Amino acid sequence: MKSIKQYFWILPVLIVITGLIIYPILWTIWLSFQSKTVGGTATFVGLSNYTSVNLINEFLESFSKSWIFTVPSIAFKLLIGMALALILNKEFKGRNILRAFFFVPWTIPKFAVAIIFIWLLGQGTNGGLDLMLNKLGIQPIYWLGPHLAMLSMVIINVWKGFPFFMVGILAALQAIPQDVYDAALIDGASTVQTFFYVTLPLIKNVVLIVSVLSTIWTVSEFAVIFVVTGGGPGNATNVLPVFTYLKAFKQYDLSGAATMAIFALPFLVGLIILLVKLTQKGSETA
Amino acid sequence: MHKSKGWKIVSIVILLLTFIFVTIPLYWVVSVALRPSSNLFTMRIIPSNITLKNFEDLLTSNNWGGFQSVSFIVPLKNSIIVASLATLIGVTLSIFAGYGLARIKFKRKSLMSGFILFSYTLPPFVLVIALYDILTSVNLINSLAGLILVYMLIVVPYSTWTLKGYFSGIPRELEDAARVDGASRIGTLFRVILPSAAPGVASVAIFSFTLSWGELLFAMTFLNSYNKFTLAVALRTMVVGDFLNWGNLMAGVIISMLPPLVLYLILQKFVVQGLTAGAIK
Repeated sequence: MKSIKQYFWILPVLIVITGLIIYPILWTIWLSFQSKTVGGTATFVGLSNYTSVNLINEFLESFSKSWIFTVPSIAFKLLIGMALALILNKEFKGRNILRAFFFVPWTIPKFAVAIIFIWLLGQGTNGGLDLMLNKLGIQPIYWLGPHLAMLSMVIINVWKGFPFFMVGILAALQAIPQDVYDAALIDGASTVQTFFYVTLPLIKNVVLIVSVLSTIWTVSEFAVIFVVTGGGPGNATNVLPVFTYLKAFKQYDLSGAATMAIFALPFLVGLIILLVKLTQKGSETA
Repeated sequence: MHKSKGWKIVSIVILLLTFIFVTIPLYWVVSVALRPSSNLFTMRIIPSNITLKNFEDLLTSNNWGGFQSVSFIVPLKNSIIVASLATLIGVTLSIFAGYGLARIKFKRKSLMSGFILFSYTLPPFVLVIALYDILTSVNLINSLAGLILVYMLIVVPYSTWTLKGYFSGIPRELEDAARVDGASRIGTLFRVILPSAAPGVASVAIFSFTLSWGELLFAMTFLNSYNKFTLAVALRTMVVGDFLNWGNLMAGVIISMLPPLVLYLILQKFVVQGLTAGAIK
C-alpha cells in the first residue's frame, strides 16, 4: 500500500508522458504498417512502407541533409561558445553586460528569428545584409540561393544557439576552484598547456552533454528552416523534419511520413541514450 | 592566467566580432519596425522619421495577413492564454514529480529519471504526425485546449528534469526539521522546499512560458482557423508572397520577442542557473 502511495508524486507526469509520447510513438509505428492519407481510412500494407525504395531514398537524402546542416552548426557553436566562456570567465569591466547581451538570441522565439533573417538575407537581393555590404562596395549575394542556402541556415542556427554553449561551459568553468590554476602556474604550465591538461579535462563532461543535447535539437530543427526556405530552393535545405512535415501535411501521406520518422528513431534514441549516460556519469563524479 | 598581451588582443577581437554578429539582426528588427515603410530600403544607423505607426497598423487593422478578418489582438490573446495555462498546469505537475524523483524512494527511480530525460529530448517532428491523427480522432484539432494539452509534452519533461536537480540540491536537514515538527510531505514541500527553490521554479516557469510561446510546429499543424492562431502561426502566415509588409512583420516580431526578453532580463541570474541546472547537475 505504501509503495503505491509513493507513486502519487510522479503519477500525473507519467500519465502525461505515456499519453503524449509513448502512445504517439506506438501510433506512429502502427501508421508505418498502414497506407493512410490525411482524412482517409487506414489500410494494412504490412512491411511495404519499409521496403519502399522511394521512401528509403527520400529518408537517406533528407537525413543526410540534416547532418550536413548539423555538423558545421555544432562545430561553430562549440567554438564560439567555448571561446566566449573562456573570455567571460575572467573579471573585467562590462563582463556582466556582455554576457547578458550575448544571451539575447537564445531568448528570441525561433519563428521570430526566422523572420528577422528573411529580412537580413533577403528575398532576391534586397536583404539588410546586402544593404550593409553594399556600403563596403560588395555586390549583393544570393544568400538563399541554391548554393548558399544551407550555409545561411547554419549561420542562423549558430546565431540563435551559441549562447547555450557559452552559458553551459561558463557554468562549468566557474565551478573549477582557483587553486587548481594556481597549482598549474606553480608547476610552470603555459596558458595553452593549462587549457588542455587542466581546464579541458575538468569541463569535458559538460562540453559533451551540451554538444549532444544541441546535436539532438539541431538535427531535428524545423521552425527556422521551414519559415525561411520551406526546404528550398529545390531541395537544397530539405532536412528530415521539414521533409516529413511536407510529406504528411502537404502531400497528405501520413503513413509515408510516419515511416520516415520511424527510420530516424533509432539514431535519435541512440543520441538520447548517450546523453542519459553522460548525465549519470556527471552526477556520479559531482 | 591569460595575462599576456596577445591573449588580451585576441579576446577583444573575439568579443568585438561576437558583438557585431549579435547586434546586426537585432539592429534591423528595431530599425525596420520603427521606420515608415516608404523608406524601408535605406541604410542609416538611426532611421529618420521614427514612428510607431507599424505597431498601430498591426494592432488595429483586421487584415494583417492581407486577407484575414480578425484583429491581430486575437492571436496575441491566444498566445498569452496558451503559454500561461500550459506553464501553470505543466509546472505544477512537474513540482510534484520533481520532488518525488529527488526525495521519495521507489523502485526503478533511475529508470524513471532516464525516461523523463528521454521525453525531454525526443524531437517533436517524430510525434507530430501521430498527434495530428490522434487529436483528430478525439476532436481536439483546431482547439486551444488541445494545443495546451500537447504543450504538456514540451513543458512537463523539461520542468520535471530541471526541478529534480534543484530539489536534490536543497539540504535534507531543512526538510527533516520540518518533518520532525510533524509536517506532512506535502506541507514540507510547500512550506520548506518551494520557498528555498523559488528561483528554480521561477526559471523553469520562464522557460516553459518561452517554449510554449514560441512553438510553431504543433501550433501550425493543429490550428487551422484564424481566430485560433497563436502569434507564431499568425506571423508565419504573414510571410507569404514576394512583397511582405515588413513594417507590420517586424512590429509583430518585436511584440513576440518582448515577453520572453523582459522575463529573462528581470530574472537573468536565475534563468542562467535554470538553463544549466538540468544539463550540468
